Amino acid sequence: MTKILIVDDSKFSQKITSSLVGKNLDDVSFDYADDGEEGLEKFREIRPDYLLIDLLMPKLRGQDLIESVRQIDFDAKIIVVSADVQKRVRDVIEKMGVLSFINKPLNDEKAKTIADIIRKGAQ
Amino acid sequence: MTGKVNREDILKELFNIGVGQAAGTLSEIIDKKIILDVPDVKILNVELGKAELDKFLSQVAEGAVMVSSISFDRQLEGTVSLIFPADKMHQFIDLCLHEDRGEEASMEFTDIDFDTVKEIGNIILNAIIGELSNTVNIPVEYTLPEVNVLNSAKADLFVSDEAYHLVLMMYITFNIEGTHIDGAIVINMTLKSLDDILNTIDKMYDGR
Amino acid sequence: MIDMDSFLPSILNCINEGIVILTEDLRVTYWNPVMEKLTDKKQDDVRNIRIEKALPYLDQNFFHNAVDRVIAGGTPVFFSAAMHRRMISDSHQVNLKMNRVAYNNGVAILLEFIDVTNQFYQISQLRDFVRQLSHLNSQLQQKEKVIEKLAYYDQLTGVANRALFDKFADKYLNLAKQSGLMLGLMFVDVNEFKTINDTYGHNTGDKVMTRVASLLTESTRKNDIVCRYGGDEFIVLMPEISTFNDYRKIVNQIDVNKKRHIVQDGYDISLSLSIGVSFYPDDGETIDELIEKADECMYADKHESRHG
Repeated sequence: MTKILIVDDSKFSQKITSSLVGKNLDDVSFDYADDGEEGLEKFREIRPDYLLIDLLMPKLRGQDLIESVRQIDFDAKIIVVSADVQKRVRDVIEKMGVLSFINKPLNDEKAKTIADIIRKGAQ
Repeated sequence: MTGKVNREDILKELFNIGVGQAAGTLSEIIDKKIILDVPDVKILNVELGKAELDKFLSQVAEGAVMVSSISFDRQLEGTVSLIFPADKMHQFIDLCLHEDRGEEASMEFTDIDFDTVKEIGNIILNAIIGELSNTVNIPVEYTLPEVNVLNSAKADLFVSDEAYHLVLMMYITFNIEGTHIDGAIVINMTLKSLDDILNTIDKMYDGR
Repeated sequence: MIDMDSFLPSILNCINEGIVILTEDLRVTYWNPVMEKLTDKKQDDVRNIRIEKALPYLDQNFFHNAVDRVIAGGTPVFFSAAMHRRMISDSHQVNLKMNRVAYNNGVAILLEFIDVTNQFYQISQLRDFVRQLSHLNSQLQQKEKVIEKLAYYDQLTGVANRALFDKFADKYLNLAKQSGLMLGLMFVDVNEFKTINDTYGHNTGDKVMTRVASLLTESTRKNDIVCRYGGDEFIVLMPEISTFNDYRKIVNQIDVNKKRHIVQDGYDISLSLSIGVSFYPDDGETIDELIEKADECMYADKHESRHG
């Protein structure tokens, strides 16, 4: 069972992400956090195999969440799914060693990309 | 499944994507990083919408605003206005144009300023309406935004009194190099248009 | 009926804006004469080549994204000259409007380049004027300060002149009436000033007068007004006196200097002052009455100093 934690302040977006990604993977379970702080708590508690993190969030921004997670587990597997498409933002995030930076809105094709990354990692 | 997904949350996510894209475009053009704040969306009836907007107009903008607005009809009907406090606009424009006018900033807005704001308005409104129209697959037609400076703006100017209209309000904050600009986006559309949008979204994502 | 298809090129040729029409794959199919002038590129040179080749500035992400949107959704796009200074050339600033137009079964893209170079020129001129104006304004403000100094201060001694005295006298009198406090008025005369002038010369006499002004200023409080009232006469206005003690403090300070020797220009000069004081409300209701009363007292003092 692959455990995936989705951190996104939009319940709608959580639902889309889990349904699109879940469709392309077998044997996965999803957990959800509504903001960065909750994301950090759930990360400590659940220790997911993968994190799908949004950047624009209240309380703890995605970028800060990634840093905090890295301090706990330097090898944490993180995929960013964000509406922030600025090249400058992307450059900074990619330097933080995330597996991939996916632009919202999520569609089938992008969900497959995420699923492929996760499947490869599981093998 | 996750908790209950409400209408505000769906719209918020759609507008977030739109605003994110707009910031991406603007950031590329002005070659500066833009920090955005997550806009919260409120769906209000006309009366509450006006009260909410009047609060913004008097508190944040102190009445003087620079507005870019477009109207759309056909399948979806309504108007969208992007409202910024006028006194912050000189600074915003300066940041976009890599200029620093200092004392001369007290000058009236020039045609060049209006054109700059027209482009910014076009970028933001295109992204928001475009994202909405893309998601629900309903084509929307509109023209370039009209830009106006209003010295004592009241909500009546942006929200029509017609029956079966709704007001979507969201606040967006741009932070460019430490300067905060608080704006509001007001969408005044028919109840039917919003229902069409939300029903389409429900159909698209339900049952998954 | 006019056949619009054949008519269209001649219409577009007349339009006083740069007009470019692109195919869906962004190749130039039309480039009007205004465009030729703006860019120095002939239609024949750019026809059928992609727009980013003809106008290299447009080879950027945001332009391609915008074009995609125009084609897919018909959303109009606007690029401002201010944010895109070098859109078509270094010498011309243009706004660009981009729209989708239906064409048979496909679409074409209409680009309108609106020349706003003159606006930029005029606005930069206007800015220069504003800058000059604000420079002039600050110069004027400095001059105003100088003029005020000339109008209200005695040129020789630097203390207030009669014009400033008149202004403050009324103001302080009104304040005293409102607050119920006393207003003191001190008349000071330099004894035998004419003799000092005759003995040591006018130049030294002027300097002595300046010394007296400084002595008075140093002996009084911050809000007291020392004024040169005539050739060898000074008046000191003393607002907000609540007790005679307040007044006595000032007078004691001045008394120290009332009779003394000063050294000026190498001369040992004996300086003596005659002083008379009056108070609102005890000695008069108006400034004139107060001056008159203080003047009387001053003469009595002078008499005493001569004969006493």
